[in-house]
Amino acid sequence: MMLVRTCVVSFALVLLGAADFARAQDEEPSFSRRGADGCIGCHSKWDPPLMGLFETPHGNPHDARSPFGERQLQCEACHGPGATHGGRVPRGQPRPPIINFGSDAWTPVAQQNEMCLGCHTGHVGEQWAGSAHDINTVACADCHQLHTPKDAILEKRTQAEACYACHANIKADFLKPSAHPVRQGQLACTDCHNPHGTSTDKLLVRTTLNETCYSCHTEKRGPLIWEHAPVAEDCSICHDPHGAVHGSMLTRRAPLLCQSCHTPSGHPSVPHDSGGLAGGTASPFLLAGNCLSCHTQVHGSNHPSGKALMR
Amino acid sequence: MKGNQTLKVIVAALLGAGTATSPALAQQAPDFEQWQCRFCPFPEKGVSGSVDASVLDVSDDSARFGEYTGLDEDGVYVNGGADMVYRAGKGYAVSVDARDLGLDSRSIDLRAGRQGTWVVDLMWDEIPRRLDDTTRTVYSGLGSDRLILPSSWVRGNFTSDLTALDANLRDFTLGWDRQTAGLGFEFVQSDRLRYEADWRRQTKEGRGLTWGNFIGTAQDLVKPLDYQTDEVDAALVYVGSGWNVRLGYYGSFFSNKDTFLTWDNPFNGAALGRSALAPDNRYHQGLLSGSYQFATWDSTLNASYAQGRMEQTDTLAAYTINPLIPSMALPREKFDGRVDTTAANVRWTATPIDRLRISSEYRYNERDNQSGQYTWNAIQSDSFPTVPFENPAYGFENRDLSFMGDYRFSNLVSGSAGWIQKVRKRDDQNVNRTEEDSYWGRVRFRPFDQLTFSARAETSSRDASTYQQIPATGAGAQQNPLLRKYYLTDRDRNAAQLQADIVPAARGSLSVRYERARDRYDESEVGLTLSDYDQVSADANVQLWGPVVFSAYFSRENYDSDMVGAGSFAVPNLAQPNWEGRTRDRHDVEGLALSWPGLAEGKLDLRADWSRADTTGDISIENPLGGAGSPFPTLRSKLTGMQLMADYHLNPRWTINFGWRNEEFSADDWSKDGVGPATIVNVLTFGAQTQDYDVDVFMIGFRYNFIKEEKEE
Repeated sequence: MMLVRTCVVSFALVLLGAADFARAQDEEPSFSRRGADGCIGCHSKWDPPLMGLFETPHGNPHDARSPFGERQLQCEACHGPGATHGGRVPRGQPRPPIINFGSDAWTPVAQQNEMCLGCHTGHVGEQWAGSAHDINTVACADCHQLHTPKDAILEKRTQAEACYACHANIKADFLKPSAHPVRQGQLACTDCHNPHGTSTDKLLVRTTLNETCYSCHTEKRGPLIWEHAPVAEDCSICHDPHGAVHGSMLTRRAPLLCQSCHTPSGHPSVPHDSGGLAGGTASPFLLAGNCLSCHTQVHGSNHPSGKALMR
Repeated sequence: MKGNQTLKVIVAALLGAGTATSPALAQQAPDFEQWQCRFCPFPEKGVSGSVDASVLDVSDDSARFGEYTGLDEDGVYVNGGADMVYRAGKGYAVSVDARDLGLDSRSIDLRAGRQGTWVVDLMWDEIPRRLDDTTRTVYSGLGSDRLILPSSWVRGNFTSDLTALDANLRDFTLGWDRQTAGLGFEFVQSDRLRYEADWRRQTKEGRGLTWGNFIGTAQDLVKPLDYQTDEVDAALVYVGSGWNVRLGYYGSFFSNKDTFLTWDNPFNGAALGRSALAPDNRYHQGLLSGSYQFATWDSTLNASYAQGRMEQTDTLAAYTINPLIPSMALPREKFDGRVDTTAANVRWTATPIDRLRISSEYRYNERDNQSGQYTWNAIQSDSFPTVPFENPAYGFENRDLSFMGDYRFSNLVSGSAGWIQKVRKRDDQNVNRTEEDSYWGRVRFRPFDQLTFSARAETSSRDASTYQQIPATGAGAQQNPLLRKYYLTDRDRNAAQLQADIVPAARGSLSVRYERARDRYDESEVGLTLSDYDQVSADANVQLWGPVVFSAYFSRENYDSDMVGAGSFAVPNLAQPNWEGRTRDRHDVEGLALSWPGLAEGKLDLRADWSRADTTGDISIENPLGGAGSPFPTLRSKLTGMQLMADYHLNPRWTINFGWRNEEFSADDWSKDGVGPATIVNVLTFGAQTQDYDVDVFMIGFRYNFIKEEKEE
């Protein structure tokens, strides 16, 4: 009977890859004797300060789900069992480590994130697995500060700086002449992106790029009688959503941008060169509203006579 | 006991469910009687946080500087804010986060509830848009749906004939205020079940820029902005053991108080013009998503499905309001616009062996346009009838499939590779189907803890089905047959990224990054043929001594694009390629920052920032018809900002803040510079100029911290 049981167990382990479970059973580190009291004894004066945690949701004793809720595991809920770390260490021996967090931590990122997702799957983890940040081995603690009273990445005005730590190339976009107001603190990266993973490319908060844009630019949703096909499909065909050198965050300047797709005979097809500047013939195709002076409804028209997007 | 252990293994493995609780819980529970948390500094009842107030003095008027900041006029501003929490005990708390209360960019967030049980969130947010203050117009009724010329107006064929122009021009500003009110609610019914609901009302009121035209003439106009959008997000979230599910609803309801814009024609021709403004619309979307964790290969399956419907049934304008043109009856008084949307994804991620991570995803997205299609007897620009035309109903279907694997060869080296296929199907467009296959690879090399290199390369090829000509109404509307629209046609894309992260010591870091992406449209004889982008950036931080931190940032980006045109006045346009348009844009950014806290025995914190953004754009037309081309003057803009801030802590409760900020912007833009209201012979413009500014802001204020007596001591 014992042999059969062993075979079944072994088969299940090999077939279903539950080796981790078995390994966990072997190690069985134990919790500390005094919980957080033992930790605070050494870490209360730590640099950077750690006690700010108690002003955050993680340090709330009245929330049963919080690490400091009733009969919760306090510091060891996240840092793992700490008996050996907090126990006596023979002279000359290094103190055994516990789980720590961040890209530079000794704890593998996957294990760090597993600790966080153990509680936060329902909040943020639905689309985490396989998302861009997961695949790129981003640790939760790379972005979040858990021991400070205010987590900078949760504040609209300081969030972008935290994102720039990895996305430094995007920082320059918001200093372009035409840009969304991230630099001014009026828009946060998370207004458009969900860093915990979504069903869309680029981690957008809504189900498509255009749906994300419509959240603020609802007037462009339509549907309209006369739609401009690329507008209905993908705003980024003409716009750079972070910021652009040209006005209205356009990737290129009209009329060249428009002429990339419109070539009927006459003014759409012919070149408009520098002879048409204010000191020359003052071409309406180059100056002021350029193409839009007549094709005013470039995002589409709901006028019965709006076929050429002029009404 | 051993039997239980075996059973546990079998059940866990067969169910394939990963644990939803913290891995730490797998251990023997501690003796909670000993876990008193006597030294835990839990916040006490009462108020904590801070309030602040300040006085700002702005040196100059500038709409552009005031854009998004609310500091668009010179003078003194009184500002204030608060970041406070009142804890009532037993976990009940009320918090307020208020910023810039004295400015048009103010925001307030009130939150009340009991963490882990329920939370109510009430918010208010304002974003000021200050588009332009260099504009002038002759119209009255700005901000309404009827723009009227002065009674003394003299019409003409050209702007030079508008003899009453100068006498009637007056300054005005373009811009609007976006205000958002929101109410959110979260209720945690149990460890597993949670409800969320969020409502937001966004209004946008002010004056926007638009244009009006008649055949051969046009004019800059102000359109009224009186928008209101209500958004609702509601969800039910259930978290099981190793799985979770979210059932949600999203609704968006847009209304515009103005349906049409009517304006007097300043030129000869029709007396009045009328345009349609953004119509009311609504959108409903139901969403179901979730994930399931398997113990097998430590894998996770994520999936989502969303079904939505957008509708628009606003009242339509008549074909024309020109009484001289007999107008026909509309096929409908209200458009029956309807689009059904579907979005879904399935993603599977697994770790079959410790060193290997694999992931695969399928995404589907459809815009099924069910809007009515009718034959419209359009009147072009209130001027003359055109041939009847049926409105298209654009729809599309997107399918993405991807596979990727990440393998850790050793602690020093890891590599990833993947394949992505994107299929796009479109209705009523030149190309019915495009298929793009991308292959990418990345290597990370970390020879030692202080240095990480990474390199990524990607190549992709997009193939389009037959490029077909869409029947045009009238030969004059026919596209040149050699044209290939860049978002529909064949494209080869190659991209590469290199990055080095250096952390020479715990007190500093340096990150250097280079990226290049090149799109080639080799099959396009006419249209966009090349798009080339590169960026090099560097970011450095160093802890000079103690808490003093210095950081520097640099970025240079180049955007190049080439297009080919086939210009002709012949009808239809069958010309061969005969001109090229080249754009060369550059954007440079440099920034320095210094943070020096703890001066004067810990009482003084100093911060200094400096940044500069230089942008240039060179456009040239090569081989224009009828002669040699000359390059356009370089487009330039320069934004320089400097800021010095000092916080002096009188005691733990009181802090005095001093600040100075300077921002300077200058630009050269040939589309605006020197273009007055009558510069263009057939367009009456606002004469908007580039908005250079040089603004200083001085600030003095205080912050009061709510702290307990014992802490103060």
